[in-house]
Amino acid sequence: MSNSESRDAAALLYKAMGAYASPGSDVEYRHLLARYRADSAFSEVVNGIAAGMELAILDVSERGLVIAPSGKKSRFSIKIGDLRLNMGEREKVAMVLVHMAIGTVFYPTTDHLEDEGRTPFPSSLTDIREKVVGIANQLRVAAEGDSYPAEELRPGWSLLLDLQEVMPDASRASMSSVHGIVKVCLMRMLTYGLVRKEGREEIGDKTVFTPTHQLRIQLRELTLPNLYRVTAESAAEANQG
Amino acid sequence: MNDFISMPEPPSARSIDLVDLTAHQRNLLLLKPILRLDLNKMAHSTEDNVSVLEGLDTNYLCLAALFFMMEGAAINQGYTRTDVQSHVMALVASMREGLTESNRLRVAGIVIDALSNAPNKYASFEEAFFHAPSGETRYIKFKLIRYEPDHEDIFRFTPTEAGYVVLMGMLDLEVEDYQILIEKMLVHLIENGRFEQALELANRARLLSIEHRQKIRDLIRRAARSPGTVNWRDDIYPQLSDARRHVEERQTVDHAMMESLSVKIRSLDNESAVASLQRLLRQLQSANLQRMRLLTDIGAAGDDFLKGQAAGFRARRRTGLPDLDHELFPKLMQKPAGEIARHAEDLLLSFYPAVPPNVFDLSSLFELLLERRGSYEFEGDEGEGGEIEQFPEIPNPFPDELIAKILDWLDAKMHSASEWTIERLIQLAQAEGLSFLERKAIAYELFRAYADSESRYPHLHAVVDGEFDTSVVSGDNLRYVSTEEGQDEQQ
Repeated sequence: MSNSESRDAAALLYKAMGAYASPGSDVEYRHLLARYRADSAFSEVVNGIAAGMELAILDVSERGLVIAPSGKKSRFSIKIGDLRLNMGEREKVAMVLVHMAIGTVFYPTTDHLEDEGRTPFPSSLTDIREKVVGIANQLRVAAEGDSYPAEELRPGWSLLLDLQEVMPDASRASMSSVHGIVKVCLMRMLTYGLVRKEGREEIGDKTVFTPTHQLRIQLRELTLPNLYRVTAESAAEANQG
Repeated sequence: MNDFISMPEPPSARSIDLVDLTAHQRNLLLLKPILRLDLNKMAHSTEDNVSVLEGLDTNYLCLAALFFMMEGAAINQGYTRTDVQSHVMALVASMREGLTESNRLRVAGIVIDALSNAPNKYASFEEAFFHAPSGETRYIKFKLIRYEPDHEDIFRFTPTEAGYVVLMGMLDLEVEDYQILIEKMLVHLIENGRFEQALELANRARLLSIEHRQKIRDLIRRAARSPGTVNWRDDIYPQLSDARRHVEERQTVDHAMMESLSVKIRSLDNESAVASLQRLLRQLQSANLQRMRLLTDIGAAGDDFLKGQAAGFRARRRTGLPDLDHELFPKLMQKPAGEIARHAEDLLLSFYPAVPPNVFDLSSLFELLLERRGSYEFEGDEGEGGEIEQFPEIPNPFPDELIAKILDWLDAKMHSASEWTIERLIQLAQAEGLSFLERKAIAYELFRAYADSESRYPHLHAVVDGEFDTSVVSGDNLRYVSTEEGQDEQQ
């Protein structure tokens, strides 16, 4: 392995890790990507370095090399506290559901996710809030009765409907309204390069967001299979019970 | 009573049939937030320690505010906070004279806050009740009013379903069924000439039309705003055509009733009877107007939906995993909160890419420090075969008996009148045949006595006096001089 080969392999990973790195604007990145796809010896080196650094290569295309931490123990993984400090259980549940709602608004079907030729719908904070509240309301109508035996057995939708949808006169994003939680989630996703914001002004109700390539790949390769497993698991448990 | 006593089995042994009163309990609990305000009147006091709510019927104020919001739902999409405030303030003024403007404003605020659970961040009210069929305690959550932006983003109050139940005298029949019921009673009352009661009922009929209209309008609005989440043919269309049929039937009955009323009015010449009949007629007409409006809404719903759908056309084609929108996300949301929480971290983190570790960020530093690690357990040699160096345990070289022995020996010397130095004591110990270890222990004890705070002999003060050299230790020689006061205390 020549010196330049190891340097180039590390450089490719370094570029892939930048939140907004794009091969379109970076000639070196473009060359390294081409080399990764053409030169199997080089791709071996990159794969090796990635594996050693607890990184998983999710996808390679002309849009870039998409890497993710290989697990939550990986040092490259964000910590749950990076999203919001001192989250209680209910807040975590709300956070997951809103993240999923964001994924759902951008990529409602698996087909949207898999066909990279399809441009996702630009969506606003209000769209996402209405999506999550809408689905929760549908589930409430479909559910039998509105009482529940214990807090932890309460379905997730009920927890969301419990919150004020929009907090009147709230200027800061807080976790006490659905609107606020959507804002917190979008802000984090913006920080980590999962969504892009249109316009330079601060995030408002009508600010339009578009997902990045990274979000599509993360959803497709990690979140969706993970989510499918989680939902299938409970179905299997229900069948046994 | 006698029969009861002579029964073969004591009453306690019989199993008690628990009647399922869930619906009743539920309706009862809906009133609790309103009653609570009544109970806690004293909590809202003015400067001179008089409750600002003194002499005011808060129950009435709450119900009236709720009623007013419902009226608003009929005309607009509800009333704004200012509307509700000024309405409640007018009510307060008529209920109790002499309240200042600011106090009336305060009362209005208290009433609105009580209805919207503002002290609790506008969360739902939560009440516990005994659920007879399962024999366990359950909870219901409900809201009485909603405060949401309308299509022009103006925040408006409307009653929720629970709010309507409170208003409708605790009878939560399906609104459609209730309408039919009221109508039957109306016909019956009019036929029997009981017009006063009929008027009362006609009022209710009107309320029901309003509620029904709001319900259908919500459905239409939801469909138009997020066309991707509803299936027109399966979800919306049947409900709307049911609603249309229902409304048309009601209208037929309305017309028949109004017709017969008009005939009656014409045939009467008693003026007061005519007046009450005309009031009744007006109520019926008002209810009918609501229905006509609803029919217009329903008629336009299809076009609105098509417009909405064209704006966000989404075709569904299935490949591989189920779709997020239709399957996975609703399924996740249906799961119990506890289970979602268990998977929360994995799911959340799977969204995020690899980021450079930023341990030096203060927040992540705290996170690292506060992280609870599992305690380390040594699992034999099965592991990776890494070398584990045993931590050498250094035994205490001076056993307790030895310490006790040298302290005895030393105490005798130190409490004698003569003046000692380390060198002399060590030499004496050697002369008296104390072992090497014992002499070493003596040396430690004596050096410890150099600090007055550590010294075993508070009546002596150590001063450095040259150097010494013995077989055990060498170093600064210490001479122990008595301190007068120390000596006095000791003896």
